[in-house]
Amino acid sequence: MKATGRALFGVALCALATFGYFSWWAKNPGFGEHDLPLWVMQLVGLAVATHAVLRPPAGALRADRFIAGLCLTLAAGVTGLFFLFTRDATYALPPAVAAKLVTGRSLPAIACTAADGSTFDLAEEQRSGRLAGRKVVLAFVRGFW
Amino acid sequence: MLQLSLAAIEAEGGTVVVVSKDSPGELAALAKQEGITFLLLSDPELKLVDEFGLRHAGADVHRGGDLARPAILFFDRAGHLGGTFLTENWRKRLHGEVALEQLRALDVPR
Repeated sequence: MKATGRALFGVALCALATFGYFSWWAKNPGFGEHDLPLWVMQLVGLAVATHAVLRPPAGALRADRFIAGLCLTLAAGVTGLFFLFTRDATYALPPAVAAKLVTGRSLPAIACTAADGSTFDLAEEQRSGRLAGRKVVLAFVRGFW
Repeated sequence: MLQLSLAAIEAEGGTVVVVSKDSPGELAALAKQEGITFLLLSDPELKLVDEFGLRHAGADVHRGGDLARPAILFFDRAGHLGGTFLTENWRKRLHGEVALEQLRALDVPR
């Protein structure tokens, strides 16, 4: 089962790159936006699996070659998933409404609930609360972290 | 990313406020899990999001509905908008040094 072993190694590389991306890489500041190393892993994995199928070891059994072929299909599928989830189009965003982001506009008087359950009004807090006299970095995130 | 830069941001006279659609309970759990110490605000009806024109229609694939497009807005000490970081691709994150540059720029008279 030498061909299968090599092909499995190829699948493992592809799977490691794909699942590693979502479980750690993408969440790691500084790494998440650069996926070239993971693409290299994907391509090496695919190449190893392809080589195992196209150039099996001498005397490889039909079953060995068949399973190696299945592994190659799996590796291609995993790489396809990686492509779908990392291509830039997946992450494209609609433009912001420029008219609402005019330089000089004020913090709005809109009350939200903070994580501790308290009510927090940005304009009021800027006038006389926790934001008074401070510069404010107001970040909007997609949530469901 | 913001948590990593928080000390430098505060040293620059800044305060971080993060807004998301998540419920206060979800935000509290997140803060505990990730060790987040800045202010997290819940905006389930996207009122603040709409106030700044940041709604991403149909983007909430998990719960249905809309989400905020990622954006970071910088307000000066008087509460006036002085800068923005609007990525066109949500994998691109704000790096600490860029945030600090934006904060310092708020002190430059416009």
